[in-house]
Amino acid sequence: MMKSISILIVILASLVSVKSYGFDEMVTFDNPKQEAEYRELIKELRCPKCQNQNIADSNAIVAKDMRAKALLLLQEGKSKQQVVDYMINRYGQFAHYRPPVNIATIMLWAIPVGFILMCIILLWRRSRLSTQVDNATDTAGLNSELDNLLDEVSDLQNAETTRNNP
Amino acid sequence: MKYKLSLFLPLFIFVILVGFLLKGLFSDPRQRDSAVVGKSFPEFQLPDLMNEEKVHSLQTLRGEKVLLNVWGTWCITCKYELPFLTKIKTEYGVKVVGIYYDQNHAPEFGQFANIPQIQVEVKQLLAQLGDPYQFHILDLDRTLSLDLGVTGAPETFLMDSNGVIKAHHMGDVNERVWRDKLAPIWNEMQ
Repeated sequence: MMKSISILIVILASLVSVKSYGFDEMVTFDNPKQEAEYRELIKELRCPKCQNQNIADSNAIVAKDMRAKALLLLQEGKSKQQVVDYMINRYGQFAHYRPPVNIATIMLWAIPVGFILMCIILLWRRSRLSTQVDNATDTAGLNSELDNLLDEVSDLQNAETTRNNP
Repeated sequence: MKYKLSLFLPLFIFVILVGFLLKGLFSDPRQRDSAVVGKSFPEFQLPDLMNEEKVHSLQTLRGEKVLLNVWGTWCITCKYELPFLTKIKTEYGVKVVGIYYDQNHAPEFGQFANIPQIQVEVKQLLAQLGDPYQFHILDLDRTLSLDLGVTGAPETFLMDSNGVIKAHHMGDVNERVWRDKLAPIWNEMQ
């Protein structure tokens, strides 16, 4: 039993390595810098046919073509940014996983932060308001009022006892 | 008065949230704005599908407004739009040119498209379902398709006589798409 499990683990582990290095041997590079840039690019560029995959992970035809084109452009001496711009000019901003800073993308960050800030301000103002009420309470005035009430009650009681026991 | 307004704040936020989520529920995640509309049609030099000695280029394409349809016999949806494209060709006189998109051709993987076989398949299919095309540009390496931002087939472009792309539609062209999206642009085009 233990033996079959360990065999299974070995098989599964080898499958993983086969998958992640599957297409690498097909691609040859002029120098290590080019290879590094190519690897960054295929992770950063997004497959336009797929919902959420970079072109390194996708096997769609368009992703294959984009990988080939990215390599070709690097071999022609284009910089990484030039390759990214080349793809964005054809497939739109969607094709890059680093969206530009504009009103729509700023809103994504600003709305949640603004909401939390608003809640904090509201809570703070509310707690300050309640402490103000506490301070405003005139304890001396209340005490005298209470004394007056107690006096009234005892007066009433005295009156009742005198009426019941004439 | 201030107190009453803040009472409605949660309801207000809720309504906005519901509106936002409803919009997401009914939107098509595959639909996105094309990056090539308004730009000049890319330069190319590609052979004709039926006659490889004949070469098409942007120069031969310019001068007349044209509907370019990216398609392939392997593409199921393309078969559904063939009758409709034939209809708009005959009824409205739309010039339709095919860009043949082959998905098997990958020389770096040792796979080559069988062009004579594709020619036979194309002829059979068009005889069966209708032939809207004036000719087909054979984009074997899919370089023109990449320049056009094509993600698959079918996709359709409208190009004016000056060679400017006026519309880009992903998916099939049917009665609804033509009436709502493409025909208004086509009729405005020079």
